[in-house]
Amino acid sequence: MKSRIRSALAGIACSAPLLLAAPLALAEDPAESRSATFQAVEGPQAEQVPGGPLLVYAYATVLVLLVAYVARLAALNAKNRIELERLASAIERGRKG
Amino acid sequence: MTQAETSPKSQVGFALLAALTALLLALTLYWGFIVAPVELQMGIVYKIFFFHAPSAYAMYLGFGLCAIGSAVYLSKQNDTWEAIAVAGAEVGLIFWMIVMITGPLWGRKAWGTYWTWDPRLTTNLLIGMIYIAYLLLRNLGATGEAERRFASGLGLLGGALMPIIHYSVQLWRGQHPTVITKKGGGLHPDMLMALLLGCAAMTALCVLLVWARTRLERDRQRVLTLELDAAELGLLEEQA
Repeated sequence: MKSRIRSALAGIACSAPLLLAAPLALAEDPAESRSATFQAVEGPQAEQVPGGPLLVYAYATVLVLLVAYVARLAALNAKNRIELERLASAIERGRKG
Repeated sequence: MTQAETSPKSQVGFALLAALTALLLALTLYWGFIVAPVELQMGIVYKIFFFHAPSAYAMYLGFGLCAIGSAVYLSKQNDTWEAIAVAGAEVGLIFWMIVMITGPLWGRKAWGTYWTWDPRLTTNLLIGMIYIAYLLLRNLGATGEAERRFASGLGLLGGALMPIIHYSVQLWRGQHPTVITKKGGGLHPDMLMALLLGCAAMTALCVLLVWARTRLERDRQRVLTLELDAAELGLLEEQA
């Protein structure tokens, strides 16, 4: 009899954390809530972590990547034109000579 | 097709598209920084979103063009479509880099960490690696038919992965924002306007860059053809 009572108590003790955790698991995750809506601020409000530098880094990255790629395209264009002219004139000379 | 050989119509079209792109970029910056309000929880850093999300759409466009070009190349061995595929992959990767750098900067403020193994972030990393492999194969490997076909297969594989990336947030409940989907709570009208302008600007920029890069790839193909002609005439040995 005692062992049955002990087993029952042990079972309740083991399942209690799971039963307590269930409402927490069902509640909406704050990160999930944040991912689902963007709201405009109303009135003055100070930021806890300044996002200004992060914003500057992000836009600087966009600018640098795009300018670097356009520069690469310009370099490729110049290289192709030189090669095309060199080969075309060499072939013309070869066919004549 | 060198610049000297492009038709006047094509040059005018290219210049008009470049002007439209510049105008749209300027409008996006104006609307995003001057008109759109600061976001309640994230503050000013959410303005990364006006270039981050449109860059993701431009990335899809570039990789999508690569997949289509690869499919046509595999079926018809058409050099123009191969050039479009290479251009799409390269331009798509530029936008992928923008997404992969600006996203973590936003995440640092919004999530408190630069990186998390969220389904969309992980699948996005994977697709970028596929197109890096594609370009390495096209640029560093031999230019034989087998390599070109294998690269085209990779281009198609990346295209097949794109729907998985797009729907990964819904499929696996990630933390990535879903404000512009049915699940999300929506955007303030001025934020939405800045986002739409950003999408238009990045789409125009993507088309412009793919156009320019396709021209250059066609030039490179012409250089290779002329090199073969020169080799047949024995001119390359003379030069060496």
